[in-house]
Amino acid sequence: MNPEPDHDLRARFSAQRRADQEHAPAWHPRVLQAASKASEFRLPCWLPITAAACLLLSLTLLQRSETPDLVAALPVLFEEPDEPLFASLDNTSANPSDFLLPTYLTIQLP
Amino acid sequence: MERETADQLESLHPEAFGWALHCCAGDHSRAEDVMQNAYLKLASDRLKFAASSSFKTWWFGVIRLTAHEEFRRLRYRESLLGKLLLQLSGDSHDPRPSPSRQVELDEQTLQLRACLSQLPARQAEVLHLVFYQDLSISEAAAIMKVSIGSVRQHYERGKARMRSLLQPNTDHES
Repeated sequence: MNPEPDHDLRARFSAQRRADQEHAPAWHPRVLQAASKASEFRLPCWLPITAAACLLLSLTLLQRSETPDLVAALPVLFEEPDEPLFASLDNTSANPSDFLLPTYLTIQLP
Repeated sequence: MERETADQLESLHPEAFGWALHCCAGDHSRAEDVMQNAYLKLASDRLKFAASSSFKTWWFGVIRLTAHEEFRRLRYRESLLGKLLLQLSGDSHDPRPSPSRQVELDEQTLQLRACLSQLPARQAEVLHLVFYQDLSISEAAAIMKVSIGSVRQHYERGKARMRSLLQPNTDHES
């Protein structure tokens, strides 16, 4: 009678299988049922994207509405003068020694 | 999930766990995670059995793929960034079997596992599928997603290498 080929290896692997099966975790079919129930209530994939976009948009709008008007918010640094600027300057700037100058050299301000 | 599928899963559970254990290099907790993830994939209808092969072959292929995914995740955790994130989150995972688990395993089992770990991955896989799971070469090829010729080559080379690895220890024992 021919001995079974590879009997040595088969015996070793069988021993390992027995040892592994002794310590294998128990079968828990509840895992499968729980996952099936969870999958029934799965949210559509577009929902979180849309929600994130809406949130971003509302935050942007909120931030924009809360920005104060800069012109109104800034303090007044220069008060508007009552008279026009440089009103005190005499346009006909005549100096005391101007009569000594020839007429064509006299400067006439516009 | 159909009742028939659940029954098949239940009957295959111990063998499937043995296969997951092999795919995780004997790490018990990782094998449990792999089985859990594979069951969740099936239960959440992410996977469907197409009946192009036997249920066992298909299910073992799923477990193998899930174990590879888990391995990639583990490799990421072991990377620098992953370690940093783990430190921040305070979570840690030791891939080695616990001391109590090591005591539980007998010496022969540990020796066989050590020899298998020295073989190339494909050779170790085909030896496990043929000798541990009692599958044929063609079924092993379907699970490993390689040709029968390639699997046969891995099988022959793996057997020869395995014997040479086990031989010195056997001599030492006698």
